[in-house]
Amino acid sequence: MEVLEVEILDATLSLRTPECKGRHYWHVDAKIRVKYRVPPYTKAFYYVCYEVNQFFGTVHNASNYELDQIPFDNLYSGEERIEERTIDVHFGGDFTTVPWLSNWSPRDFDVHVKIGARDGWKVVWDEVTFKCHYESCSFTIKEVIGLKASLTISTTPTGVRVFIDENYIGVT
Amino acid sequence: MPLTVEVDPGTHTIRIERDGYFTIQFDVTVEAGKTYNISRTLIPENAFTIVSITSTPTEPAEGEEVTLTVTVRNNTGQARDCKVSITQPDLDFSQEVTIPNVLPGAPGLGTVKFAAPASGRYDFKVKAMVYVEEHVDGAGWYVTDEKTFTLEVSPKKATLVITTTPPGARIFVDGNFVGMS
Repeated sequence: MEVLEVEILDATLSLRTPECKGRHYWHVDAKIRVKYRVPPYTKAFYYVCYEVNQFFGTVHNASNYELDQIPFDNLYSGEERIEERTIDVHFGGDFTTVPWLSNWSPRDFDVHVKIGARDGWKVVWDEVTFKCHYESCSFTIKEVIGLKASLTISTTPTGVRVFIDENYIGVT
Repeated sequence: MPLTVEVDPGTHTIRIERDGYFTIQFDVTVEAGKTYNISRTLIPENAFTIVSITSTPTEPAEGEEVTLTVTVRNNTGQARDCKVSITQPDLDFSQEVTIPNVLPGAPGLGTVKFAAPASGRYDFKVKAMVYVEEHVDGAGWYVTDEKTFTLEVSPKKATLVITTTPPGARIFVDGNFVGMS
């Protein structure tokens, strides 16, 4: 079992400070695509991990947190398989102890969210960055960097070679 | 089978090619986190073939009005316009006619009229073309078939009116019987 690719297809970050009364929460909803190789006669599974680096300084750094185990099937096949799955992941926490928040001053900050998949020690990651702003007890997400768009190309007839930006992508 | 790929936000150039079809290219602008479905129907390089070229009259005389009729067949599976061009460089002759909305499988007819030139033998180049909007070399009319048509023009004829007394005489011109007076 080997994780080949992880792609964050979509991700949203929610930041809340209910009624501005001391407790503050963050939450990520994401959709990821995981591509993996299953050797002959083995079972497909992997773990989804996340890591929120430098989140409000050093307060939250949930490295390699095991979010979920995905047992896909019990098929034991003599053929190597390359498979791909799209799954939704959700995780979050609070950032009540962030030092700068205690003085309620407006500021811009970045939140780096990494989501990965592993079947052993090796983790394959993808990352998005949220450009955020805090002011007057409310948070605004100004921009998300690193998210990709999904293009689905169909042709009549099929069997057509497709290139994107001069790079060969595949055949319809 | 649809092909799905993840791309960075922004504008990307997509090229689609298959042997026997015109290669197309176009730009798409995408936003992060969104899904885009793109569908294209390729146009075969033999989109229109020339079935026949005829002239009326078959062998015109100098100065006589000639009608050239070009029949094309649509091989694309969709109704399309066909443009036919007819050229003869020695005569500095060039005409184009568009046959609108030619149905798949049905013949499309294009005609051009002109005065027959001086007597002689003339090769006309006839091309059938299809419009390819997203062609890799730019939008335009592209040739899908080409044929040569030879037109024989005879010298201008004179008219002889023959009257005899009495009538009912057999008339021969250059030894060929042409009728009775």
